[in-house]
Amino acid sequence: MIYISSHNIISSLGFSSEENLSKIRKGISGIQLSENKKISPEPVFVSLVSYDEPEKRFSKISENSKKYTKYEKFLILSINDALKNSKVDIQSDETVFIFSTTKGNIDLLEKDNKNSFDTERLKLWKSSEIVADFFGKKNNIRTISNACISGTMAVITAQRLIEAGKYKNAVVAGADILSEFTLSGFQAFKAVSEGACKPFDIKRTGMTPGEGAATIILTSEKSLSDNSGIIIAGGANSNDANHISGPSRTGEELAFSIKKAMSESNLSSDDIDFISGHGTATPYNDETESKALELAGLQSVPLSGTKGYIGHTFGATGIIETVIAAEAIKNSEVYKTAGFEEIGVSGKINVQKKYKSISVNTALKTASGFGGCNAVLVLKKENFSQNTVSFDKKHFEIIKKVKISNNQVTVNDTIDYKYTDSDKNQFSAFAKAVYKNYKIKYPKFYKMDNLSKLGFLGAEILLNNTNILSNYKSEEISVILSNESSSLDTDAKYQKTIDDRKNYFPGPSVFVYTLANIMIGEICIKNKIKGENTVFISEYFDKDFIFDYADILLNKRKSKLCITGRVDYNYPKGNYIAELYLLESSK
Amino acid sequence: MEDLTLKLKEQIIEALNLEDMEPDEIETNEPLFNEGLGLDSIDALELIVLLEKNYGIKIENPKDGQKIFYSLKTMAEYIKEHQIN
Repeated sequence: MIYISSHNIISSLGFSSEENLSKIRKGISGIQLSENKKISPEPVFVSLVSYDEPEKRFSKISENSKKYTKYEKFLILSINDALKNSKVDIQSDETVFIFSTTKGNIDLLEKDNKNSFDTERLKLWKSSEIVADFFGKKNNIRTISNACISGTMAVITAQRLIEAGKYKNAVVAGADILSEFTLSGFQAFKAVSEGACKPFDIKRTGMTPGEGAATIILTSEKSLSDNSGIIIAGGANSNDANHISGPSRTGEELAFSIKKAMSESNLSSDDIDFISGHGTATPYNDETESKALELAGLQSVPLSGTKGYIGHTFGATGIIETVIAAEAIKNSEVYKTAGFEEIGVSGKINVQKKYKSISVNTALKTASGFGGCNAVLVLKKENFSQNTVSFDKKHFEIIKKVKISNNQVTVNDTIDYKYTDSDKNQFSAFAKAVYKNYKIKYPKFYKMDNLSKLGFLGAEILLNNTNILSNYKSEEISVILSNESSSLDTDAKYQKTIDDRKNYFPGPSVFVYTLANIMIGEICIKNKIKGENTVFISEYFDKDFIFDYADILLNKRKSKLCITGRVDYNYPKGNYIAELYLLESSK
Repeated sequence: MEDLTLKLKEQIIEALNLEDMEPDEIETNEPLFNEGLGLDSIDALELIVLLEKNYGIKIENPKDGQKIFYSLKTMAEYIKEHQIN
């Protein structure tokens, strides 16, 4: 069983879970109109953590305030607060740190910030290391960057690693800061709400961007738990295989994840008492989410959303809403969905308008994000419909290996294609030559950024001349990738479109690629793959870890085929390497 | 008008990365979305940026794009009517 040991939420509503919850219970929102020109040329409704307060709090725990960025301070304050109430030994090799973020220290790309910190801190693995090091933690650090499901996926990954016996405890921490980068991108997408966002409401016009951090500490030792008796019971992850920014029109892929997470938790739709929804308040997300919930038979279950209180906090949101789900169970309560008045989605759902005390034994958390990814987590009281977990260490077979680097392609370690043209260091010319050599016909290829092109080509060659996909259902195929520089190559290109206020034209088709998991979205769309999909960020390719994780999926989670390995387009050097493996579950 | 249509075709090819495509392959009267060039929702947002950047025309409501970006012809007509300079 995986218990909760402790948690924290930092948002515009406060610096602890309790501060946040007490305001949510009273229906107080932290969203405000900001006229800060540093984050947006036009006034915009956002949820901000006031800068002075974190500084003040940080100076109480460290004399080295100047050594850390705002993003790192958010995480340190959050973890520090959660650790106060936990006896988990974080130094132990039995404890893993899992970070979740979409953009980390992205504000360091801005012109004004360029000289204040080393740009290596733009690398998500680096900022994770710096934060972990604050607590003396040097090893067993993982980072997940998977768009808006990052936080939910980090909790699910922690649960899986503990369940599989790899670790006993996990400190799961996620954060994102609100920067001009993210805000301008969502504005270019016309996805930002005119006023405070209105989840699931008929008058909703978009999301409210926010910033924050959250931590949840998990443990398999009951003696280290918070005695609430609440466990993380199950989780699942899927891909729409529909569009890199727009969600599925039917909601079936999210519904599939919901059903899988419930069945893993030994629960049916009748057993679910509460839904901690995603509810971004964009017209499309809420529509799809409602359809998925109805498809999964959850139309009458009370649903609350937090984004009308604290906006969309990206890498933190999944952890925050997992904490909300846990608190709903612990305190037998469901919350008012701020901003919601009149239902405006076609799927039947039961959105809460008021705070209520009701008995809650089980709760479900949904999440969706760019790249077509969905994640679902189930929490419950440990004595409620127990499930027995048995993890059999099993084996998979490596069906094929493809490597793309240094102007050549190898298949199963034999050179399959070599590019000999004169303009040697141009990835784009090489990529086009590979595309033509393998006779790929997919015009969307030209719209992709370098990282997606590389991942896409790797997957195409891996699946070339094989019929293997047709042997499996689309939900049984997964894509798990390791990556070093995230989407920084494209991030830097996007930043140039907003650096100059006189020439300020943020481009949506560039912005959409400023997430590493978009490459998985492209692979899934092309091949109609709808199973598990996650990007782990790390400095070096930890093949053992990635294969271990794939092993967990291939055995326990009913995944049967897995495309895995690493895809790296290095920033700023532009070196590239894709090393992909096709793993099939042994029969 | 013909000059504008040709220029627009070149701008669209560049902004939407329609590699390997020549301006005369874009039919002036054919629908740009779904059939035709097979553009999608991100391309529509990118066309909004294109109009603002190159012609100083702002489209606040993306839904207006459906009519404006129906074909190259409708787009050119809209620019003619709304262009500031």
